[in-house]
Amino acid sequence: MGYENGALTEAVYYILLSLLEPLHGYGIMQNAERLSGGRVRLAAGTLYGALTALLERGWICAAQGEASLRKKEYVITEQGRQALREELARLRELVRSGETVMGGRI
Amino acid sequence: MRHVVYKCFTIGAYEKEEKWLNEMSARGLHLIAASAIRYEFEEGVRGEYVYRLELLEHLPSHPESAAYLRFLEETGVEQVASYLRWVYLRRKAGEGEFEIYSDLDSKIAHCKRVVAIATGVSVLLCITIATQLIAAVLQYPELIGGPVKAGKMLLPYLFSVTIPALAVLAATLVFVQVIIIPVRRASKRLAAQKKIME
Repeated sequence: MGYENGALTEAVYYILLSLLEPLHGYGIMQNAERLSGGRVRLAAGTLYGALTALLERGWICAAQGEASLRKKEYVITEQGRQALREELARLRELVRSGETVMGGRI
Repeated sequence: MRHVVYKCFTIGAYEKEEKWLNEMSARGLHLIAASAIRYEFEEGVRGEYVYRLELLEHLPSHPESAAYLRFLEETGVEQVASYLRWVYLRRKAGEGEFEIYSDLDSKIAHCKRVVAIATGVSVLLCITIATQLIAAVLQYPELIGGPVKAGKMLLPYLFSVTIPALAVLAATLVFVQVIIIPVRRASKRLAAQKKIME
């Protein structure tokens, strides 16, 4: 599957980052909030929608293991990692462009 | 102590309903059951819960809805009641701000689900109105210029049956459209915001 040049949503970006280790829904919410210094608060409905879409796309999968018997855990796939790498490159480019143009002007 | 309150909210006023439930919770009255117009509250700690209403894509008993509600439960969200596709959700206020959706797309999709119900009802009403008109014309061809038959009581029939029926249906149709105006506005506002931000 190709990774178009589209930007990932903030929810998807933080979900993928969180799922480098297997994690359940509530854990993703806490992780995103912690990583973003409290700015990103993923609401449960939004998170569920994004997880469902990512599962369908094959960027994440259900994690196997004892812990996931109680609460369903998810983990990133190789496709997901690739998407994350491309997003990171895109974000770097955005920052670079911004700094080139704005540098010292704000 | 339990309290039962009867109150009517239209489909377009679900945000008002939500606000009311949260005001009740702030007074220490927590919703534990709800149906069309009947709300049952239980006394408890003031402001213990934050309540939210959501219109699901399917009935709560549908497997997809069940999986979703189970997921919500894992994040500390409790389903206290449901009415048709509406679910009444709550979470402990101590766990922080409680919203169902944090992104614009999902909020817009939810507004569209609410509008879709009103559209469905409106289409049914339009079909009913059309049926009424066709029935009247079939019975009284003179309504559209057909030959007038002697002995048939056209006017009494029109005034006692057709016109009142059409008036009630048309009024309901207008009402259904008017009550979702706030939802349509919210949907438009979100869509405008969506053009410049995620």
